[in-house]
Amino acid sequence: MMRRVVKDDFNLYTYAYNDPVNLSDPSGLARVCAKATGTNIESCVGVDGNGDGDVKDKDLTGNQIATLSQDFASFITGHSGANLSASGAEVFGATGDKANFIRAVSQFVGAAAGSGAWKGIGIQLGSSAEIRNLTRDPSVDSETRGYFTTVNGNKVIAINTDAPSTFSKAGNAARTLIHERLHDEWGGQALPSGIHHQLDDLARERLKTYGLGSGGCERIGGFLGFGGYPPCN
Amino acid sequence: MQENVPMRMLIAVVAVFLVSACQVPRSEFQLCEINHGVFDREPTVIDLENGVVRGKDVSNVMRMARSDFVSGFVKPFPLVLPARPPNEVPAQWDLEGYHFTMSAPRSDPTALVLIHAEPVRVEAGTVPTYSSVVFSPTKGLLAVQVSSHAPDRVITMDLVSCGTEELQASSFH
Repeated sequence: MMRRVVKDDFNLYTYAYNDPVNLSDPSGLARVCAKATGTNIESCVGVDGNGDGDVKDKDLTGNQIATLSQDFASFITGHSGANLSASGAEVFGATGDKANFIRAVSQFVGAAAGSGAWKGIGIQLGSSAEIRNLTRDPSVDSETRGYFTTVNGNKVIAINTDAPSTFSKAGNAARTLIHERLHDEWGGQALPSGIHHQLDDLARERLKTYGLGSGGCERIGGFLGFGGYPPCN
Repeated sequence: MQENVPMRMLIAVVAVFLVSACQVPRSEFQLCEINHGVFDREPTVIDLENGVVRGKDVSNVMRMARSDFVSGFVKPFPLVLPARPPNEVPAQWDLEGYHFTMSAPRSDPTALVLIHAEPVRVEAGTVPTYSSVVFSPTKGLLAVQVSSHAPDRVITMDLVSCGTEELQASSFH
């Protein structure tokens, strides 16, 4: 799936982008249709491609549902009854649990950040090797949780499926998504680490503001004070 | 002496490996920020072979820009360098949506040059980017300050050449 992104004819906007509620992905990469119902999202995040949000298709694992429910409990309570269907970013790439997990998290982030939070931004899932190919950056490895880049003029957040911490806690995934989205807000420039950590701190602040937890990994300062972060877990 | 041959071969192989591993391809130019008195561990990389500018978890495709007297790029931030001796470059010019102003002592063609770039017009919903480049006709790009004016803050980066390669206008050809 990742390779098709680099084709010249690839365009994020030609594909169900502005009508996420009613359109489904013919390849089977269905949108999550999440709907907060109070304190339990178990019946809201399952998808089967038809957007009805039922659970019988078991699109998310029990662990993922429990993780989302636990990590976003306060958010869900505060948004009881809200329809999150149109709040997510379009997600491309890897199929299966990880993609659905990111879809669900992006919907919570989108609902918290307000309408238009993901406007013009697509999310691409891929392995370290696939993201290296996408970004032409040889330094991408499993420590690289997310990446902001442009593909054929379209803004893309790449989520590394080789970074396990991203998928172990919804707050971690949300923090990575917000971090990469902030890169766009800041002009999409390459940032030296001296400035980069400010962006990561802001991502954590926003995460807390949104009521989505802290993202797991607080900055503790690395070698000689150069922003170092422990692994998210 | 005979038993030293394998050792010499091993040393030679290791030496070749180390030399090749330490070499930075000529198509890559690294810009460092001074962070707590030392070069930042995450340089901004101008990757001409792939046509991108890379940083930590960010890459952007360059939009190249060229005229009769300068070469470089204007995206993701404006950076053009004189392709002729500075005294043959005008003091101001417009290129690819940016207005450039160059300041250089006219009496000395080897003196440092300052090139400032700002967008001709700022489109709504975009993050305008400004730059000031310090260029040496003999040593290439020395430093660049990049300022991105986001809605709620100005992000300013002061980058200097890491010294790995000289970036000249001819590098973009």
